[in-house]
Amino acid sequence: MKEKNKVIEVKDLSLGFVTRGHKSHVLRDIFLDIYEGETLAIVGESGSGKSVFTKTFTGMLDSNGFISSGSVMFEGKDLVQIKNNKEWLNIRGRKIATIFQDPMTSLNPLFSIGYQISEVLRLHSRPSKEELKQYKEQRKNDKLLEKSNLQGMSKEERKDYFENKKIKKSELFAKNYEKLLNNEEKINIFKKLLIKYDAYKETNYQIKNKPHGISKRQAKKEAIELLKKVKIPNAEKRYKDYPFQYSGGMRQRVVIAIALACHPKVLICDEPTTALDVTVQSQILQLIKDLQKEFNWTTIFITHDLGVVANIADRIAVMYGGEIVEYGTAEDIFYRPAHPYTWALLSSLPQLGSKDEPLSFIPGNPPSFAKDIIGDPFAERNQYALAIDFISNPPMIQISDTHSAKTWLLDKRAPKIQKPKVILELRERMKRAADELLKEQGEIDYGK
Amino acid sequence: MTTYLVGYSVIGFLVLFVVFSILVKRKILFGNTHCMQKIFAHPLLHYSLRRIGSALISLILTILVTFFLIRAATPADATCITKFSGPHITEELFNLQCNAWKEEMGLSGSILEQLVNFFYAILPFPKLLCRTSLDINTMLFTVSDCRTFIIDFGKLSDLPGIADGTYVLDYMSSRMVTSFKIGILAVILQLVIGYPLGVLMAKYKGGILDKIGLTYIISIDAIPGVAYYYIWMALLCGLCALPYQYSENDFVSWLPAILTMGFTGMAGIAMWVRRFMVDEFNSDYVKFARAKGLSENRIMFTHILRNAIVPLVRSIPSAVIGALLGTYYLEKMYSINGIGAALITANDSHNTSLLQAIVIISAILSILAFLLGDIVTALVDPRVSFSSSDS
Repeated sequence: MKEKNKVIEVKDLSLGFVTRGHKSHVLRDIFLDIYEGETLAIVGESGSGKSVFTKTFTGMLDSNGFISSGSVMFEGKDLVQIKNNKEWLNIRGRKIATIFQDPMTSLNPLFSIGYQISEVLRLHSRPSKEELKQYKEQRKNDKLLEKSNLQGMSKEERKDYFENKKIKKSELFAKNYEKLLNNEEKINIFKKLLIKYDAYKETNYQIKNKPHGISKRQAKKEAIELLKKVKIPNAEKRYKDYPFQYSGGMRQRVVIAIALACHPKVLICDEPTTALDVTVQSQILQLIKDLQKEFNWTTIFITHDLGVVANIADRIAVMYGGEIVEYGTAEDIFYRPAHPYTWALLSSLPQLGSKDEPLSFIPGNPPSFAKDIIGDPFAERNQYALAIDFISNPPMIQISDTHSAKTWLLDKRAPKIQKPKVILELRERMKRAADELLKEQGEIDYGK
Repeated sequence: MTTYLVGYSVIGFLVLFVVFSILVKRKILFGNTHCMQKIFAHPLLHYSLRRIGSALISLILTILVTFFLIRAATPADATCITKFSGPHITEELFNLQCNAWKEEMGLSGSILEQLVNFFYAILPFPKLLCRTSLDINTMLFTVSDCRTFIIDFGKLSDLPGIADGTYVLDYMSSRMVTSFKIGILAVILQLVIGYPLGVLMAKYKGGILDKIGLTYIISIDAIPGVAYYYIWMALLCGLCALPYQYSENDFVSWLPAILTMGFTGMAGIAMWVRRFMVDEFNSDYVKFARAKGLSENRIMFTHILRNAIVPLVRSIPSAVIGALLGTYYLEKMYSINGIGAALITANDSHNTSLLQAIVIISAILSILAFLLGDIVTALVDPRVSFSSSDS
């Protein structure tokens, strides 16, 4: 694997919540590097802290959450130190976008799809405060210069000067107007007036050299482009529709289009396919994959569905009880899993079970965060637990350049352990599952 | 003459408009013209027409029920006896007077005759009306005050301080205008204070403003209406030295009533605005809007407010229209010459025409308020559709 640039660097991150005066530690000592352009999947059962973990990247922790230690470096800035919502606005949405689980409720039901997309486009095209400040100063200087120039002129020269300015302005206006007019297909009187207004504004901006956001008309055009990009048929017509007129899969496409409109460096997908049915799921995954190739962002995929992970991820981080227990490339995790929890997860995949043996599952419940956890949080449910697991939390032990796991089993002093049957036969079983799936599909097609 | 012209042309225009839009909707006329279809076959328009049509049926039923109830409760003959019998009155004179009075009040003839006459009177097209009175000394009928009305609600009798035979419409309209002036200003005050207060309370939830506002709302809820009316009266007129008595031409004297109504009504509005906004806070689209990078203010004032307002706008038209009907208690407190007490006065004095007029007008107004409420809701909520199942 080539050396890649780190986008996000999480170091020793610990996080907690205060509920009814009681502190609970939800994330503990997380180290994770996220590289540019990769797809990282964060896998874990409900309540393992995977959503909370990514929320720290966008400052969307609930108000009772607090980060007790560690740092999250993004573009040379420590995100943990940001307390001000205004500073977050420069990162959230602009650089790190999020797609949530339920597309049915992610969109505001009372605004048209088009409005919700172009709102983002316009927001992110708006100049920042510093730019505006700079502009103001420059404008001031320009005006002073003009004034001093004018003072040196005679009356007639001044007249000429203003005449020239007027002519230049009208020429620019005509050019802008024509350009905008050519972009439109159908033209009526009202549209002409609106376009004239746009052209007038544009001309003013150009003359004053003022930084400005895109116009509503332009935002609409871009939004329609985005809708086409996420493969919504009839995008021009669907632009005006409201969320309730869209199906679940379509809405998730719109949500992706909105994320696209942010031009993010990092896209966090918080279980984006959980609420969708299987056929739509694969379409959406494919779409995210394709778009990632095109725009080259980093995707962080949060899911509890290992099937999804196998489909999409370059690297996988397995989370349990607020810790990352194992991380590595997809191959590392699927073919050379090292942590008992990962073994248990993989063994309990129904697709990999065979008909003559009972489906394996992980006994017990995930640990409660209300109490402090002593030792390895997975120890109580772990059939391979060693005595030391109940006393001391294992360190992250590196297996290869890309692969690390947090278990005492990897320690030199640990006894040799027979891995579960499923894990040993993983390769064959996966192959068999895939074959069966293909056969099944063939049969269904044949039946038709 | 002008009343005739305006009346008939308005009626004609309305009828033509309805017929035309129905024809366009059925695609008999302009079936292929997109523009005409868009305007005259608009679902909202046809929904309104259908609603008005069905409302007319309930209106007619209301009128029928009140018509019979009022006549059963106050028989005209009994009123005649209390009104005209006396020691010096002969039976002939009594009959003459009674009949003249009945004729004037629309109470003569059989009950079916009365009903037909009544419906004719309230049909909205121009008709000439005159006041006739019988002079007992000369035994002559005098006709006076002839005017054209579009709707004839009859004439008044036995109302304290009002001459017999005054047109109900005159009486009501002057009072309604007075009530409406006060009422609409109060409603505006309620909306102008209530909505921003609710929004601010939701925005700074748990802050000082929120606490003060909640305290006020709870106290308004807890204290009975009459009590806080008097508290406000004491505050406004006692402490701030505003006049106790309403007078027509002095705006300052309107203030106590307006402020009392405004400040009490605003509590409910602020409470509901706050509640609905706080409800929306935790919804997923707000989280997503935040993830998009929108500022808190923008989320608050466009996304959340828009959603919170949907269940609230329905009540705005009825509040505005309700202002036409006045309030009984406040008008009594500040001695405002409004319509609020009219129903009670009409009932006390057995005034058939006035009772009927009030019932009809309030029925029409409430039907209108419901319809406008529906339309306003549809305007703010795209999910509401008006098209019937076929389209």
